[in-house]
Amino acid sequence: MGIICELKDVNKIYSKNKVLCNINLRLEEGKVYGFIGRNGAGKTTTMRIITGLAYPTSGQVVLDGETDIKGLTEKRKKIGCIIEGPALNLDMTAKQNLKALCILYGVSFDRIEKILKLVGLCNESGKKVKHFSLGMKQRLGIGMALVNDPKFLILDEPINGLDPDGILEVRNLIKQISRKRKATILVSSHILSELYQMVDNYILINKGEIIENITHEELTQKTQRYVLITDKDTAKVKHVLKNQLKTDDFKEMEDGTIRVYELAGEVLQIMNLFADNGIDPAGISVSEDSLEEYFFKRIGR
Amino acid sequence: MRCLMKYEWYKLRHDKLFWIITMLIMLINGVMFAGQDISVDLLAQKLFLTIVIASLYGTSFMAKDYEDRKILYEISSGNRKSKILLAKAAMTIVCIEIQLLIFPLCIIPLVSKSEYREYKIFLVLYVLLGVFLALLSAFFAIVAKNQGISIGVTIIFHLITLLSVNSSSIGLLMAHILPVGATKLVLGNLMTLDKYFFMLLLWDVVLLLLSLICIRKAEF
Repeated sequence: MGIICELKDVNKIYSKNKVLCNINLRLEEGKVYGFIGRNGAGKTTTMRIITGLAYPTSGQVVLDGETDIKGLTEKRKKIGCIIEGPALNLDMTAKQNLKALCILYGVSFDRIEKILKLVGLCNESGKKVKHFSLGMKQRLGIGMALVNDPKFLILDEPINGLDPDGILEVRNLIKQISRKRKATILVSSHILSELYQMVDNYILINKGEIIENITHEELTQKTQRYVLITDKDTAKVKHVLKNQLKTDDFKEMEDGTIRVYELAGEVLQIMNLFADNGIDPAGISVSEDSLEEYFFKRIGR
Repeated sequence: MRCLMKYEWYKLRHDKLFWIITMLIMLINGVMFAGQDISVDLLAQKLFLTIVIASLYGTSFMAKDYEDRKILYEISSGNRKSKILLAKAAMTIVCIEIQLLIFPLCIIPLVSKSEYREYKIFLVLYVLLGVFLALLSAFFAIVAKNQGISIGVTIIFHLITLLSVNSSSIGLLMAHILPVGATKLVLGNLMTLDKYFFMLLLWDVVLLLLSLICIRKAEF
């Protein structure tokens, strides 16, 4: 799969304040990335640098293989984005807002109806945007980001400030765009449970540094229920798990503990087997990390 | 560039505030000039308010897109920032010219034939002044990137300009530097049209260059 966007050692300093620190990021085509971090962690700054609204102090931005200003400007034609809320002309209707962008991008007005249908604003297309609810504004903002038929969609906190209905609407919309258009989507949020339902990869950022870049599957594994075994002789424990319990679904962690995922409900069986094999573990318990706990563990409370 | 210009024009056409202010300018001038004999001197004296209103609207029109980040679309549509600035400045020239010239053009039938030549010069001066005001708006807007601040700075500028239109010695000195005051000097035959044109050209080039430098370095 091709790389649509790459950041190489990107740093950003605002008057002695280091906002981004050696950011290295590779975003593959067609995937949905969740960008997670606290307020002020550097999510929006990273997005602004990708979209050309801000410049990196040092480092390089690569968009679809292009690195020079001319090439980047050209590639940005295929980026759709919402940064810090949708930028809308409040005195215009939804249709007029989309029409203005069609004029700007030099594309046909035909797609306006399609976009309105996709974002569910067909019946509200003649209403002035200033009378829209926050959810409708966010959906129109996403619609506006789709006018140029982008290969890469950047959505900064698209569910911020929305009520549960609004969150559901926007979430479904993002899922639909990812499914239908096969676009790469980078979506930031601090509502982790919402991201969990729509992204393929998670990028964790804290204090301007990328802490982790993991797939949805890896995260699921890290957050599912498991039997946590603590023993000095990990080799023997692993041997018993593999040969007698016939499972490969376990992992030795950096701290020397072993997590057995598949048999989370079989603690008694594991304990009996250990007793038969002369293993007396220092600790054995069933454990699980919630998504939030996992991120707090990585980021630090 | 064509798409950018069309986009800016579309936004201007749908800007309710633009039409309200244009109507307001017509109304204010209509009241101010009601029952008076129209002369170039009278126009030069009383159109200062129009200049200020048009200039403030121009600044607001320019700064709005920077403040609410609508410039994002212009950047992500693959346009260089210098082109974006030029398109915005061009449209600000259009809107300021409309607001400056709408009343003087409407009252042409009321101007006496003996003053036609002078009136034509007056209109040319106003067209040139409009370009200056638009570029000034462009400069203040890109420096402040905020509607409130840029409007505030424009008001301060016009308060200073006000000094240049009175007849004190400082006013006279400033009128040789500031275009609004210089307009009065030209109409009073105290400055040649060539000198006025050169002064405005110098202002326009400096303001445009400064704005281009600012937007190249600007972050949004």
